[in-house]
Amino acid sequence: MASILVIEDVPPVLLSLRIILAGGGHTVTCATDGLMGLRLLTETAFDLVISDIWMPGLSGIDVIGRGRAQSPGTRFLAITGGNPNSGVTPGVANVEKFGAHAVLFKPFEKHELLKIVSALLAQAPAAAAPACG
Amino acid sequence: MTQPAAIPDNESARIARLRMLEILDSDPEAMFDSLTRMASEIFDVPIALVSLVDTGRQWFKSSIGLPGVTETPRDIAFCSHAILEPGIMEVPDARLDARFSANPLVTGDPGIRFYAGAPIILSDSSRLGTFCLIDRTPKKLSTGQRTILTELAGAVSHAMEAREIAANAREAKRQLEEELTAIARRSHLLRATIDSCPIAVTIADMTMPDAPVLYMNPMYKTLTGYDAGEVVGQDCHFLASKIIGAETASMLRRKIGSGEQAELEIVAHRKDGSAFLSRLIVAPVLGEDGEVLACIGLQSDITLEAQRRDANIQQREKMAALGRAMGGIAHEINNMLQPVALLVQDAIDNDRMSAEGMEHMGIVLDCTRNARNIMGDILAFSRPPSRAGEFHEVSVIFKEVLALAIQGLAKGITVNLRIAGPPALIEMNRTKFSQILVNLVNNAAAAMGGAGTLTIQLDEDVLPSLTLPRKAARLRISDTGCGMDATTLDRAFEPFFTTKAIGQGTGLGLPLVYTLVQEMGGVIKLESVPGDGTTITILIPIAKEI
Repeated sequence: MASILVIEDVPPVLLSLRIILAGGGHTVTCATDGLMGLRLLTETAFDLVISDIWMPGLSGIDVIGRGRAQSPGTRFLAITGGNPNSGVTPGVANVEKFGAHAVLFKPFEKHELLKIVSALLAQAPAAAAPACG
Repeated sequence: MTQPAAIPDNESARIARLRMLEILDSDPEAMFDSLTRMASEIFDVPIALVSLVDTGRQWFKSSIGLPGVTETPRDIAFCSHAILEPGIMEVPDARLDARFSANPLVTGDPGIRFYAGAPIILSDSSRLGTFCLIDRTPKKLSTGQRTILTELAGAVSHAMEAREIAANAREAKRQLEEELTAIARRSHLLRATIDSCPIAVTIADMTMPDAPVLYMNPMYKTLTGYDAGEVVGQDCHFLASKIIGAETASMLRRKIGSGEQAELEIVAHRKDGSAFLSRLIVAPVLGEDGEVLACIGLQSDITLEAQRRDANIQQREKMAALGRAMGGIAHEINNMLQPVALLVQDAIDNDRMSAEGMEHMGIVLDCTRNARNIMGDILAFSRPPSRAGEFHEVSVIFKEVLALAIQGLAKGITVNLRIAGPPALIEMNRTKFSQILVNLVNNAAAAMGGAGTLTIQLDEDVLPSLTLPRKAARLRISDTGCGMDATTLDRAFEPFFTTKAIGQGTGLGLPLVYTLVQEMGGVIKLESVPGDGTTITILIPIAKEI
């Protein structure tokens, strides 16, 4: 099973994600803001990072950008409830993925989460070594 | 024997000149008749004529002694011979003259014996006919008489030219009068047009140092309260100062002075001191050398228009603020729904509930899903407008998107599809187009309660506009559902207004469609009769025909 870092500023959301992912057999590490998440990412090699987008301090977009640079082998999943200031269109096609490999719009369902997580993990080896061709 | 006279060398020019006089077949005129009457007396002859030699006849402009005869054939006319002579042609006794002895005018009526004709020669040397004397007994003119006859022919020639000059002058006068009437009519029409213009118009004479007002139309009094008596002849700068203030008036004067046009919206004051918002255009009238001759002022009261404009801006700002607020709310609620969705599902999956608890948890999950859909609508509605930048062939995208939109329709609903119109590109985002169609189809389906006919038409129309009508793709969706009453119709585009049961609709569907159509530069129209169904028409401007 995989090791997953979840970065989310809203505690109940973070908790529920941890329960579901752990229930799916994954090892889950939690961070409540972007900086903390990035620090954990430098210390540990995660298979997957799940990051909220709109957080106080460092935004999810920055976390994903820097995280992917420093940890190219890790997959990134963005989760968002929409832009509180201008509104991002959720649930529609063609929307930018905030720099991540995939995006889920809150509130998503358990099966959606588990499905996308296993899909990302399945892709991971191929995408993790693009330099090797 | 009768010998017809030879045809003069310059015959065609001579005839042309004769016709130009417009004298042939004209009514008798006193000046010619008095000359022939005088000649008859002086020469003591029964017959005196002013004869004009036409192509096939001689025609008498004046005749004494030949009642009822106005012309004779040219081939027997003495005058045809006379016009060939340099001076007077005199025939003392026609019976003894080989040229005329057998002439029916000699052998028969009027029994000519004596003939003397002096050619009528115009100033351009055209010989048109003769002034002639005829007697039924032989005769011979004295030298003095010959002189008088020549003078009489000369007098007739002068009279004819004078007559022609007078006629030309009359014609010229008539033409001038006609032109003047036309000019007067045009100027009257122009004046009437400016008079009835719904814009206040003033014209000032810029060639005078004080630039006096030459004209104001009735609307100017309606707008400003000033009478023509207080305005016309007054310094236009002084007048403008009273209405729009000295500073603006001076600025306009400088612009006009340098030949520029100016347009501004400014608070102006009527004669009674009341204020209004004026849209003022002043334009110079330039002469041929570019000098400023006059200044036209056009003024209208746009107070109401501006109020409506401001109200529209305020409404848009309010909606934008509401949209931002909704975005924030949706973000918070989506976060709160997240643990509910995950943990309830997890509890169900892990069988941690009693049977009744499981049922309750199912309801909680359903509610979460509904809440998520509502938040989705709210976020879509609050999203700031953006230009699509995507071009699609209208019938292609229409068919693709429609296939998705009608997928989930109840079995009792028949879909009638008609596509017409030439291929054309429209600028729109696929997702937005699908939001429009899905919302409209779902509304129609809801109105029909699961059974009815849904008619969807795509064809071409024109987007109405005062300035530049554009071709547009027209999409019409008609249902056979319950329809809407006037109150519902009025509020149909209002956010959160819904006729669906609580939990079935957010009241954001039509407002969202309305916003999206507006973003595309299109228009939307709702027509509905309660009990008869609803038709929604959307016009989307065509970017390019292909």
